[in-house]
Amino acid sequence: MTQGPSDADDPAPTAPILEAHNLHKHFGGAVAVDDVSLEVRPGEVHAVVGENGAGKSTFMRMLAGILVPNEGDVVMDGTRLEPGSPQEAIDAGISLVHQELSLIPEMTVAENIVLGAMPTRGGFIRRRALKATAQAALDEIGVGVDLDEPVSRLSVALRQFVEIARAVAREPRVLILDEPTATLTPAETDYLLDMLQRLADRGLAILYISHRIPEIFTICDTVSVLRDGELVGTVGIDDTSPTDIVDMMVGRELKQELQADHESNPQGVVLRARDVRAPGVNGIDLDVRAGEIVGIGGLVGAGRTEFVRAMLGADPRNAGTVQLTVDGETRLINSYGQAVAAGVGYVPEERRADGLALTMTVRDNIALPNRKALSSPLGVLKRGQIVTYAKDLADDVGLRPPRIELEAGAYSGGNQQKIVVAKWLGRAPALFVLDEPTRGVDVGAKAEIHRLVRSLAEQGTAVLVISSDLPELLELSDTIHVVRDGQIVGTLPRDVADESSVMALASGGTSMIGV
Amino acid sequence: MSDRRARIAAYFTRQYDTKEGTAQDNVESLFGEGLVFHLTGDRTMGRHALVALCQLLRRTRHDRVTTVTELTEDGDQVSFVLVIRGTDPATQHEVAVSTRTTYRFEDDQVVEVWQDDPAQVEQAVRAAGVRL
Repeated sequence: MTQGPSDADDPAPTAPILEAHNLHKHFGGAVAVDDVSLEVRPGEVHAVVGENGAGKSTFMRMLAGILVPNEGDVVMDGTRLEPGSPQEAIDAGISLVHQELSLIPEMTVAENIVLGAMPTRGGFIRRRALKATAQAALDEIGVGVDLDEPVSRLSVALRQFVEIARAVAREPRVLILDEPTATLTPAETDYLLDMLQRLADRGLAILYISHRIPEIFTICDTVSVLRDGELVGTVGIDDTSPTDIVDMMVGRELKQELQADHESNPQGVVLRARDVRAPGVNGIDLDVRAGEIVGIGGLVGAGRTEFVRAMLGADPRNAGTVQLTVDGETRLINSYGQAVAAGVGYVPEERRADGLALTMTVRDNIALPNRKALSSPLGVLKRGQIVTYAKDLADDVGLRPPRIELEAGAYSGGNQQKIVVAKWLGRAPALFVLDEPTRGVDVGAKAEIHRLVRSLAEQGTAVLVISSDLPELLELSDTIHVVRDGQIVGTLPRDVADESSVMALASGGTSMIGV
Repeated sequence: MSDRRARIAAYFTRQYDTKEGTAQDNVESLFGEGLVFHLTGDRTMGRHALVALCQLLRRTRHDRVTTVTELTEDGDQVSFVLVIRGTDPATQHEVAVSTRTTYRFEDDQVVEVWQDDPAQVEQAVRAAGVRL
């Protein structure tokens, strides 16, 4: 690991390559970033963490010249950069990989990598030079992908790597990554972290935004914590702990309040699934009771999501029966439409693809599943009622800022998740299914979503949670079913389950290991 | 009892049976910074991953008792059988698990580890989300 600025033992630390001096940014009356200074050295991986709305992305955009600071300077190699000039930042060697991917799906991998700097001659694109540049960038990060493949055909992980290759193609000296692992599996995340470490070892300075504390402790040398637009502190990774970082991010009092336990009082069976079979699902039985939170654990690829989607009719089912019982009435579920009509709310794993219309406003997204109830008998939407309805639900889920006229795509990952939850809350579902409910969500929003889930269960909703996050599964669930190879291989009640027992079932191994 | 044997036995007792000290301090008391812990194929994990795995295993509510037996020393290498007795938290069954482990020492610290069932360790590491 390279030496960070806080390493007191280093008698002659390398000079910083990038410095932010007292950056301040406000939008109207709202202060987004207030007097934040930090510096990054060549070869250093410097994490910037904080809750949604802490000002991380605004801060990074000022560094990349996308936003003009109201006060303060960005200095690269001792030279002050022109505020609000992305080209000058790029020319100086600062490259930003955005939180949300900005590739053009219809274009090839090679075209996306060199986008904005296409080699041309006589008005024609020089295909060979284009491919050579793209290949060099992919080689630099150690990723093999067909240069002629349209990006639309790539997995989320490969798109992320192509995005990074694009940044690397600009030969940066400072690489800024905004939550690069939010949509990656653990294995893909490992690959990305290895890649970034290799780049840092070659002297690249990396500013790394992530909500995932373990990642920060795996790869970063230094951590800066932002809260409410202010810098709470910058610490060397060896001088701090995950608990300290979370405390700095959310404040100890809030953390204790949000981690409160819930009272479990399960009632009658709402969901009864028997022998559900589908590709990757080999006969699963499941009951979920009113007022109960049932967790489904297992490794990525174990068949959890496939099971839930087949059970709800979102994907084809080969066999099995699924019943939903609400207010004494039992209905068979054979299609997703039937599931929704019977009282299922489903927050999918891929919320950006399946859960939200990003170009629609928050208001319209929230109203979407309930348009019938919000329309007159003649089918005309009651606009005034929709506004009140959406506003109330946005408040219930703690959307920040609670501006329902903004497009859903304008919000960060945690807030988008809250919008999806709000969408379904309005229907008061009898069964609420959440697949990876807090993936890519910061600790504060995560705790709020947990509080919401507990509150729903306390009000009598049957809740089914699928999560790869073991602490989350253990914290929320009354019962945990562990899925491996498309089957439930073990069921652990709340008072027996712990990380090791879930892990042992999930992996097929035993926790009786001596290492 | 040789010094190495005593240190190895003390490590497992403190790490898992009595849970004295932190997982990191215990690991650092025995394992060197450049540790290479062999997994399957040519995969390995380092000291950082080992600490993370130990932290996870220590969170298990268990009644395990660990015994170091059949220890032999050959130059810089020490080989022993680790016997773990207790209730498997996944099955609630009483089990006794034994593993042969070999350590290579350098400057009084373990710098290389081989186990006879590395797949199990690797699964645990991966399931725990620890980066290899």
